[in-house]
Amino acid sequence: MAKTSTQQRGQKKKVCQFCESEADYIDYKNYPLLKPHLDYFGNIRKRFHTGVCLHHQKMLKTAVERARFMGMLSYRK
Amino acid sequence: MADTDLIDTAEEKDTRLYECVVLYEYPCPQGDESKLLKEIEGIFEEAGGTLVDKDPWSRRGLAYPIAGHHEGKYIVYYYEVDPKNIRTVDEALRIAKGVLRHMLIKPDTGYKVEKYEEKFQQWLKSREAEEQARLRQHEEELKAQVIERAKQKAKKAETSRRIQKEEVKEEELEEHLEKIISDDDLQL
Repeated sequence: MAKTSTQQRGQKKKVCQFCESEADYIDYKNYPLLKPHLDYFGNIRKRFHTGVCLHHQKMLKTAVERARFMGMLSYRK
Repeated sequence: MADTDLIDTAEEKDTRLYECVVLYEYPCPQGDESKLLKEIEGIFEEAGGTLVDKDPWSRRGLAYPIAGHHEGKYIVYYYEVDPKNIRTVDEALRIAKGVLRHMLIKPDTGYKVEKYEEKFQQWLKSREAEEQARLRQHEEELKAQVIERAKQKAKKAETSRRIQKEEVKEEELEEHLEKIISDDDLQL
């Protein structure tokens, strides 16, 4: 199906930050890396907003959960 | 954290690399910090582990209070331990006094040990520098605004002065005209 003009105009293909850096593991100890992927309330930002691919989003999730358990990140603000 | 799959049976070697993060109280209630660390290292040595690397972190604030503590210190150990003995290590760490939390992780094969403390300090410094730069820029913008406003005020004042002068001139002209008109010798 051909894209409508509004779809073509507004959307820009986001690139996965971790794919660009060819990351094969996201470390839970890397606080500066994880922080921008959390919102004000401490929830993980959706893939839709950040453009992270599913493969890396799953890695990110485990990393954030580990960091939360160790008290580096908060569960909820 | 009690990982059920900590024991790796598929591994052919009798030891494998484990990563252990320990969060302990700081300042220590027992007094000596090195004593506690020795105790933790002793637990691993009892299980026949060999130290590969360790990364002590500086004092950090916790994201949420753990056992009434708002601050603590982290230390990351990389040990090569026999997978059969790792459960005893896990249990011993759970019982150990002064340890708030610990986590044992099996890193993937080919995992490169990285020291995150240095990176974190660098990040803190860069963040501070950014913040200062931002503040400086904000101040400069404010200064520029103040200067602009002062200029505008001066301009306004000058224009108002000019208008007043012109009004005065007009009044003088009117008076002069009236004088001429009211002159009796004038013959039109």
